[in-house]
Formats: sequence, C-alpha cells, structure tokens
Amino acid sequence: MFVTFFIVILYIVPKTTDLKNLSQRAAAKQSELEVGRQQVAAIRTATQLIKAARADMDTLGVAIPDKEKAEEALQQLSANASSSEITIKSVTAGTGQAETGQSGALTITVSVSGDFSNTIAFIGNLEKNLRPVKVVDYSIVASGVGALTDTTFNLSFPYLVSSDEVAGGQNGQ
Amino acid sequence: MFSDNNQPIAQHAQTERDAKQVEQTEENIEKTTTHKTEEAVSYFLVGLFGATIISVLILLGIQKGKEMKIATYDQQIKTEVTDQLIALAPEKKQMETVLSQLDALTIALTSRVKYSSMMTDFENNTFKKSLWTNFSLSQNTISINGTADDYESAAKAAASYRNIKAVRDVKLTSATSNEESKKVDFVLSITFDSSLYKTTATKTAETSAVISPESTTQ
Repeated sequence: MFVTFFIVILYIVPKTTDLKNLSQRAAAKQSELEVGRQQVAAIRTATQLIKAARADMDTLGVAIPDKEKAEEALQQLSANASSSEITIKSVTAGTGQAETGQSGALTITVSVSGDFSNTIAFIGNLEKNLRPVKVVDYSIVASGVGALTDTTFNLSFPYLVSSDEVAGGQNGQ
Repeated sequence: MFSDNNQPIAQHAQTERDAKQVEQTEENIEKTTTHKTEEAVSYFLVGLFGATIISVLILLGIQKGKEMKIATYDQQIKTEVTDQLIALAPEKKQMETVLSQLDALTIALTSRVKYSSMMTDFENNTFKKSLWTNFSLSQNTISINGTADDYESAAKAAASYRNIKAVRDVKLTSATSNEESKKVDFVLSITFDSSLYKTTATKTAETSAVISPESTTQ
C-alpha cells in the first residue's frame, strides 16, 4: 500500500506534469515546423515570381537602385532636358537623409535654361521619370529675353540603403 | 431409580457438548471470515500495485512516444526548414530587397506631386495684364514676383490665384511702382495644398501584397 502510495506521489504525479510539458513542446515543435514550411514555400513562390518577372525586376532595379547611382540620375535628367528642349547649365549632387526605413535619397540641384513652356514640359517629364523624382523645391526666373527662363530645381532621387548600412547607421547613433 | 437420577446429568453433558460445538463452529466461522477478508485485502493490494505498475508502464510508453515525436519534429525542422532556409538565403535576401524596393517605390510614388498640373493651373489663372518675373516653390509655399500695368492689375493678379482649388491663402506682400518700366512690381506669397496634386501608387502596393511572404508566415 505504502509502496503504491509512494509510486503515485513520487513518480506518477510528476511524470504526468512532465507529459503535459512534453505534449506542449511537441505541439510547439509541430507549429514551428508548419510555420517554417510555409516560410520556405513562400520564399520559393516569391523566387519563382521574381524569376518570371525578370524584366520588371530589372526595371525596379533602375527605379530604386541599391546605390545612389548619381550617374544614372544625371543620364535621365539629360535625356529629359533633350526631349524638353532645355539646356542644363549645372548639376550638383549630394546625399540626402534616409526618408524611411531602408530608403535613402540622392539630392541633385540642377539649373536649366529654356522657354517657360519647355521648362513646364521638363517638370512633366520628371513626373514620368522611371526613377521617381521628388521635386523638393524650384525657382523659375524670367531672363528678360522673350519667354526664356532660368530655373533651379532641387530634386531628390530615392535609392535602397542596404540593411548593413542601416544597422551600421543605427549603431553609430 | 438409579436411571432416573442419571438422566439430568446426561442432559447437562449433552448441553455442554453442544455449547462447545457451537463455540467451535463460531470460531471456525470467524477464522474463515477473517481469512477471506485478508485474502480480499491482499487481492486488492496486489491489484492496486499491479494497476500502479501498469500506469507507470503506460506513462513511460507515452513519454517515450512524445520524446520520439519531438525528436522527429526536430529532425524535420532541421531538414525541411533550417537547412532549406540556409540554402535559400540568397533568394531570401533577393526577395527582401525586392520588397524593400517596392516599399520605397510606393513611398516615392505616393509622395510625388504633379507640379506640371499645378503650374498649368497657375498659368491659366494668371491675370492677363500681369507677368511673372520669378516663381519659387518650396514645400507648400509659392513666392511670385511679378509686374502689372498698374496697382489694380496687381490686385487682380493676386485675387485671380484664389480661383485655384489648391490655393489656401494669397498674400500681397508688396507692390511698388517701377519708374523705369512704368509698371508696378509686386510680390505674392501663396500657400497651397500640394496633396491635391499627389499621385497614387495603388498598383505597386498590390504587387507588394502578392509577393509578400508575411501573408503566409505571420
């Protein structure tokens, strides 16, 4: 009787608690496995989508490059100026502060000269630029010769800041 | 006479014998009952012990089963998840980059203002007898330096910009007569709501939602 009592108290009761914990661990592991499988499947699906849309991804890479790529921005501005029939007088590039999360900003100050209507066309083309341009501010000054104007734009081009740089920047702060 | 005197003695002896027999029978019954009770208790204890042992064995079996299940899950997690995630690390990074690009693109497109439309509105609402000499824009403020034929035209030029939906306020900062040009130079300070010229980026947001793994993993 005593032996039975001791077995129940010292073995069966603690063992029941252990089994409860084991059941919970097993359920947690099963859940972890399911979540992990879904994560792997999601990565595979996303990878397939990315591979299938290679051309779009390349375009996306131009729209939001992983570096400042000031030279690409200048090429785009130059092409825009040509099609708008205005002249770029000067360009100054700098680095802006990251807007949100992993997004950085390349700031470009560009001075152009041309007819007022062409300057407006230049602004319109900026809005359709493959790499989205944020017009921070601008100033149009009449040159006094017909409709000729001198305009200075402060523009902001987004780019992707790598997670290492973001982490480094946060550590630095 | 002799036989008559012996009869009560014989009866007494018989009674004593009967009493002893009854006593013995009672003892036997008691012994038997006690024996049976002890036997039942013994059976109960043996049964209880046996049941306890069986319970212990069942618990051990269940524990073993659970431990094996956990070990199997651990192995599956390693082969089907951990190893796969290590192997898919470059793809995962690429996916995260694409998602970040889409997020950045969405933000950039959402915050983009169609200044060409705004300029067209200002151009269309400029009073005919006035001209701009300087048009400066910064955030939600526009500063216009202009010339008009006279003060009335300068005032009309200021008033005409109020017809633009996005314009919140027009202040005539200064108006000065220019002796050289015989015209009136004026300066306007205009506040406007640039959000009315903002473009939306619904398509990009939709693409991001399709490609995002969070919808399945979270």
